[in-house]
Amino acid sequence: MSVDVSILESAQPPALGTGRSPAALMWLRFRVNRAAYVSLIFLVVLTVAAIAAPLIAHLAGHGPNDLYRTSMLDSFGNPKGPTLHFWFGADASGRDVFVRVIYGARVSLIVGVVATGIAATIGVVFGLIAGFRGGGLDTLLSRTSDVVLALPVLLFAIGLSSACSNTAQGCVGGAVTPGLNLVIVIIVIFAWPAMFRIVRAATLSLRESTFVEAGRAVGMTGRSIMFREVLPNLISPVVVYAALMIPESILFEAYLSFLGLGVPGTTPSWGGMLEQASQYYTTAWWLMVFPGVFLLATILAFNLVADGVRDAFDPKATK
Amino acid sequence: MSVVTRPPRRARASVIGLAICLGAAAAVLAACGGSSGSAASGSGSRGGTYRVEATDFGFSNNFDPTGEYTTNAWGIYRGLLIRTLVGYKMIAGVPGNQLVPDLATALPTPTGNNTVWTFTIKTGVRFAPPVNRVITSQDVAYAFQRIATPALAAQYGFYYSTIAGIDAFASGKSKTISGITTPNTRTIVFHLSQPTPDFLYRLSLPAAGPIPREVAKCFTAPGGYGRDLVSSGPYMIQGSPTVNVSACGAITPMSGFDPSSKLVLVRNPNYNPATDSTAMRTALPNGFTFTINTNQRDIFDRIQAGLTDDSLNAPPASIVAQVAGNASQRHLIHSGLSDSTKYISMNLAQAPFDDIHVRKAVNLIMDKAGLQQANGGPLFGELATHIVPNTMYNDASSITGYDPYATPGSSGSVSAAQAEMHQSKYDPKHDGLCDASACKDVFTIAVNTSQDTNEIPVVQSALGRIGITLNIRALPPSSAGATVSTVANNVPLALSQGFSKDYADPSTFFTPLFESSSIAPTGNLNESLVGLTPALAHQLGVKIPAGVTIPSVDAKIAACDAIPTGSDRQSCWIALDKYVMESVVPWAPYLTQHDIHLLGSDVTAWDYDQSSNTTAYSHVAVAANKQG
Repeated sequence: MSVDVSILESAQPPALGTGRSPAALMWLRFRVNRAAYVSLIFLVVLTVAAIAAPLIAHLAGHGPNDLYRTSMLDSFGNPKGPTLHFWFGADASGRDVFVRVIYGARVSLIVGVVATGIAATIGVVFGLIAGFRGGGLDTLLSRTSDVVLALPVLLFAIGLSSACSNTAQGCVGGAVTPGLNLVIVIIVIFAWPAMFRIVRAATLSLRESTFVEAGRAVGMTGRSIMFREVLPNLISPVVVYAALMIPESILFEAYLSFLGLGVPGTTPSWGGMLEQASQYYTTAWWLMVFPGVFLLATILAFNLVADGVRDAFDPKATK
Repeated sequence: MSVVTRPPRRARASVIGLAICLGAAAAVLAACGGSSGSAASGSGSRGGTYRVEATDFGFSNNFDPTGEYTTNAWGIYRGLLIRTLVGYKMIAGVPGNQLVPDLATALPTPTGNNTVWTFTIKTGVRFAPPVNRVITSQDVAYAFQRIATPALAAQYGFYYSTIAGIDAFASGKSKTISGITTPNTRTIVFHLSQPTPDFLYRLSLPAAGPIPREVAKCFTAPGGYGRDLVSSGPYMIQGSPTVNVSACGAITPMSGFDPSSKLVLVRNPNYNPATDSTAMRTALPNGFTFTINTNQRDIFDRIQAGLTDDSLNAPPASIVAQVAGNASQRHLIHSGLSDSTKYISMNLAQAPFDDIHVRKAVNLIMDKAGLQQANGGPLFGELATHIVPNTMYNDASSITGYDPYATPGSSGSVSAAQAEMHQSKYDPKHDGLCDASACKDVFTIAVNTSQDTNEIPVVQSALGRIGITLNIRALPPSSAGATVSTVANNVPLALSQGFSKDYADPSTFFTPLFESSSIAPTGNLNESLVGLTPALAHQLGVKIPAGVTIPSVDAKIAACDAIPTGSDRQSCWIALDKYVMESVVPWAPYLTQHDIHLLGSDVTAWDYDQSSNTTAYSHVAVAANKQG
């Protein structure tokens, strides 16, 4: 995962003196960015749809794994396209693509939010400790992140997925089984170093600040300074980068599912749907277009929202 | 040799050859779907080059016949490169599974209670260049020495374990195989340590073809001889004449074969058609090219454009549907019925499948029509209702139509399945559903290729109707096979399993798949563990549920195997087939696959080789002006 160093610029003390709270100021700045605002609305709608997926499936009359092979597959087992009752057509098993796209949003959002949340937390905690404490601990954590970043992501994912698939118990004493949790584990393993580096770099800068010196002078402990003085000043870059990590995590889940290493086929996911679509792209365009468009729109929306958040946090922003 | 297990022979993605019998797409199904016809298409004329493309050769032993165990290689060997003592006509249907003499002058009659088999080799059969000399009985005997040499890793050497003295040779205790004698250059006698009525079939396998010692002795590692295979058939590898075989150090690979890109065959100048039969080999094209093209879509685009003629890959259903829907291209589709069965395997030592009522309920609820559709519809396979494909029975009349678990439309019956489940110990509520915890999240291995992936929701939906839910791991084919065939993994249920015959005797199904002696810690083909004893289970780390006795069919297999080939033997196997389906129920079989071939417009004659389950290369022809 790449690191956008420019966002470090936003690790500055907030602007002063407008009479509004920083959150209100940020929201005002964010709303001015129309693309970000519309993207946020899209993501809210998508989230609501994902939560209400069972209700939508009920209204559509088709569950995500209900098979309509006599009505929606031809005699060769090829899927039929969009109809009045199957808005997005059927997949190669005769399942409703519309319902599965909505259910697929669940996987994408869960992976995006949960994996990013865990990775960001690990990255922030390790980054703070490494940057503030320095010394051997910093060296250990920094070299560990270097090693992780040097690992071949897909080979690692393939190996882990294979190793955990041979028995019902999975691996690591049953802690890791193939499917959603394995995808999250893989993403977390490879996502935390980027956040770690950003936080560590910002902490290295902040620990020399006068307010940190002042804290030491009044007898605050190192832990208090870290979490009560330094951490609040890191919120801006952390939130901005976390917002950028979410689409990367969603995309990575799609990669893994596309390679057959993600969630099982019976759990709808956009990556898994695109994988199946690759077998039928010349004859069943709808299999690729609908999950592809939703994946594209979601990634784009998260990126635009992240841009909006970055601009909103930036006191020098003019728009 | 004491090999007791084997890997499954790798087959083409799907299998076989009826003829061109396609009208409209619907008519395709009506005309082709229900039979295993044998009509060859066209008669053809001499000349041209038959061009075949594949995404990968997939050879298991680098094309060295001693160990090569893949369908595609066998089809090429039999039709073009290797003549065995006995062979096949290489045509479609039941006649294509019947043995005929090839190198031998006649099919011998065994003596000594099926333990002594004597063959006379035809005169005038010569090896291709660079060897050029007459083929002798010693060349056939030498092939068996290679099979019995452990370092060469013969992958189906177990078929020859009844030859007297082969174990002593394999272990180095003897320098010859005492059970193979060659009284003169034209006579070879096999002495077996026990009656082996189907021994002739075993001699039809390509590893048993003649091999010149002066060349093959130079290759002491598995697969080495594949690059310098000396032909005994109508074609040879291009560049054969230029190979210097005067010393081992002088031998270089034949230029016509590169495992990563091409196999080019040209006419063998030493081939004498008078020693062969046109019923077996018409040998019309001047040559064959087998070329790697990693873009599968491109292969079939090229076939439709007439730029190539055939493929080792099966065309995807979407492409077949496209072609079948095009009146001007329908004639390009050829299909036939393979000798392979696709099935769901249930582990008799794992709950809830240790209960025969659950296994029968699985058969009764299974949506076989849905699975057929997931595989591409009736054109891609017939519904299977028992273990061995009908084409492997010379007279299948007593098993044709046999379906102990028939349901309306072959779509499964909830009422029949629940009535069966009602008798199970896993239905404590007696509601016709598998209520026990063992029925929930049953660990299941599936295969993640496109057609096999399509089967998963069908199976999951069907089993859900009787209360069985699945915890599915969809793995690549090789991983899935390795996982299921490792007994200690204790896989209760395996989807998309398939087995193809090695030769047309049902013993090649029953022995490896259901005999207790074939159960092995890894590479185990008896996935259902039929015949597993408590002692063996303990050795393998398998815990048989309390109070469960796993049925055995060892005695029945031995009884059938002891009967000489003929109608009595067939009847015995058919009775065993039915017994396994009704009293053991290790599988839910659902498909006998068709082998679909999309052929280029230059192909003027084509047939299906039932013995190898490939294109009958010995009977194809192309427009004479096509030079590849």
